[in-house]
Amino acid sequence: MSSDTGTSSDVSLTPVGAPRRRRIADLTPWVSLVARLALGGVLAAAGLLKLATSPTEQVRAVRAYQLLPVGVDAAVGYTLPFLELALALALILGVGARLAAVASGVLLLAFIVGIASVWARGISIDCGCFGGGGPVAPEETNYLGEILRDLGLVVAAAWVAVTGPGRFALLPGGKEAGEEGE
Amino acid sequence: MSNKSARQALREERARQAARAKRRERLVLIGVGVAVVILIIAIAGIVQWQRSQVSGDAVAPAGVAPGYGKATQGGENGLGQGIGIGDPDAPVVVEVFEDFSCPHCRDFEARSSHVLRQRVASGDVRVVYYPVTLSQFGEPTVRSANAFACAADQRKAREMHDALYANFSQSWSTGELLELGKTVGLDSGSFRSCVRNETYAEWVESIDQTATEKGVIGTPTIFVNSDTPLPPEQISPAGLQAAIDRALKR
Repeated sequence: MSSDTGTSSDVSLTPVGAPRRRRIADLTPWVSLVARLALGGVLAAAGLLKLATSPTEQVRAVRAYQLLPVGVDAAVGYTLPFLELALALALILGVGARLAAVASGVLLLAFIVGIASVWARGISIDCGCFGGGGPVAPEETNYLGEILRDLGLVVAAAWVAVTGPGRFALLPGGKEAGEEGE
Repeated sequence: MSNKSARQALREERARQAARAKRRERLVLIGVGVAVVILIIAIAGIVQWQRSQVSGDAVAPAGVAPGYGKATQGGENGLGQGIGIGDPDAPVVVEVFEDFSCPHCRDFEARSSHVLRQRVASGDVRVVYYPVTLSQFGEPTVRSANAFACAADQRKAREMHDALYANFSQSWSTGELLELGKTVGLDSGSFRSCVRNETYAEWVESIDQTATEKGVIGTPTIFVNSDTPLPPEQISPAGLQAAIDRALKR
């Protein structure tokens, strides 16, 4: 029993990985923790700063992208800060962190598409990523910086999605984390 | 021996079943968790939408008028309607969405407002002003928009509007607004209490909503008999004149 079914059991207290990969394996959970906290921190800031402005303005910031039909943009404006906060909470606490990382990655890719599309169409706006938003003077736009920042965060999201939540996760997510290492 | 391997096979099968059951249980748990989170987000979104609605007992100042098109017709009690200036039957409606704290709006006023003044005087145009309050400008812009409404109540909307831009500031206090009111002949007790109590704060909020409905995403935004804003490069004296002339011919 112990020899055969041990691998599929959800008890895997011993570190996994062959001895020669041991140093890397030891570091991975720490990198995951950092990625989780960085991604979660940015999302929390984005959500909270958006909530500091009025709901009407959040809708206006979404509308400034001129991408979504009226009505849909309102729904996005009203709910986006809470979605960001929920993902941030899951990532920081380490509850369903992998799922949250995948969802964050998708969300960030959507942001990148939005910003790139605005850039391509020659519209000058503030991305509204951290509240604010709406049109700005052409020389005040920072599309490249915004896209690079979001790409960095996508990498962090992908890392968490692949390697698991790492250290100090409230709910490490069972055996999948262990299986990935083997 | 065959007996033993059969027993082992049975044991493995049981373990596999247990693992499958466990996996299913986990999936259900994840599904429920995700559903709950989505429900909470949806409820929070509805609360935000509710928060952006204006309550029914709010009042609008005197001088409110419907604009052009569906978005600027306003609701009950004139909420959501801007302040109208000029002949109510003028053929062309110019809707001006601006924030009293926005530097670009000050520039627009300094450069182009004389066009509107002339065309209102000649009877071609009526202007509807929408004092948008962008939250980046905080309380001062709400105070000044409210003071503008208080002035409208005393039939001094035009004067207060011009004074607010001529003395452009991003930090209006109640006291400063009362002083500014005096310079255009607003010194009555009702004006003062209106400014102090922010009587029209909810109307000011309703203007923000009108702006969003009209598709305004920044200030200044100007509509000339249209639901499509005047392109930024046409926000100039010449561009404004041409747009009004075009609307007159139509």
